Amino acid sequence: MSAENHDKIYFKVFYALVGLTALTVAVSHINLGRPGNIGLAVLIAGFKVCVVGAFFMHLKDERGEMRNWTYAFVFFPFVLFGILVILLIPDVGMRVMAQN
Amino acid sequence: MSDASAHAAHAGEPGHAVHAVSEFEHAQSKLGMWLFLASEVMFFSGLIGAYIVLRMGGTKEVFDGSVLNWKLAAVNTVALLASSLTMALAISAIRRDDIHRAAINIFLTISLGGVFLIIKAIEYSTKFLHHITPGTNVFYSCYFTMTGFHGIHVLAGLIVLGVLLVRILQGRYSSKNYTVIENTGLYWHLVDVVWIFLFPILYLL
Repeated sequence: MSAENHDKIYFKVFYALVGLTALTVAVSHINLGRPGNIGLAVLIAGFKVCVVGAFFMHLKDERGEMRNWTYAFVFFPFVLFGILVILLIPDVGMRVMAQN
Repeated sequence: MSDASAHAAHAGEPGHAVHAVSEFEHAQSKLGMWLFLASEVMFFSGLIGAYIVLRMGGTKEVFDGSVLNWKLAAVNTVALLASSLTMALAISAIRRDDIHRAAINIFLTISLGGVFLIIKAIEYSTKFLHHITPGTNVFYSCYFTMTGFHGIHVLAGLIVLGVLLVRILQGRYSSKNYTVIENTGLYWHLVDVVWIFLFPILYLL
């Protein structure tokens, strides 16, 4: 693929990201209930992050012997983040909820 | 450039007049950058994790993002996304040995990052004028801590990009030697990624 085509894709990705930002703002003004609004906002943010990673950070075009290591380094912190939050919620989060 | 050619001659690689960075070195260096980015994700995970549990335990009155100016933050989001675009375009240009376009795009990236920080400063000063500080309540503690650390990351990125711009104009980079630019780009995109999460969880929810 030529470099010019790459640049065109970058512009398309940018427009998509701006569109998704507008969508995030739009859906936040619709009352879907607290869990609904939070879930949707995080879902859109997660999708945007995947788009940035795949195109701007070239994860989609990652080649060579380092590829799997790179993917592991990308994946691992998100697993740790999940563990961190899942363990914090029953401890700190629910303790304060119980006090209230 | 003379150093680079000397290195290439020493390495004895035919067909490459300037070959300062081998593909292996490039890949290794990038992998190291990814490891650093993983640690950065964990750094912000701690802050975001704390915010999630504090919010779960907090009241709706305290954790109310509508007290923040989401319009300014939305403009900032677009500025940062645009700076990510120009960063990607700069790397694409240097891969084509288009030094001129690479320099312009790095300059645009710095300008857009500057716009982000100026808007952030306006936001902060408005809060301080209303005597809202990190000590006001737990929501503002989270807000100032997370956006503050993110702002420091933007500032650090701008300093590195400024140095890169000077070095690009000095002709130190080419399609055979752009690892530093690529790694700076990865860092810059990560700063963007963090903001993509901070914007909805602080300003919109």
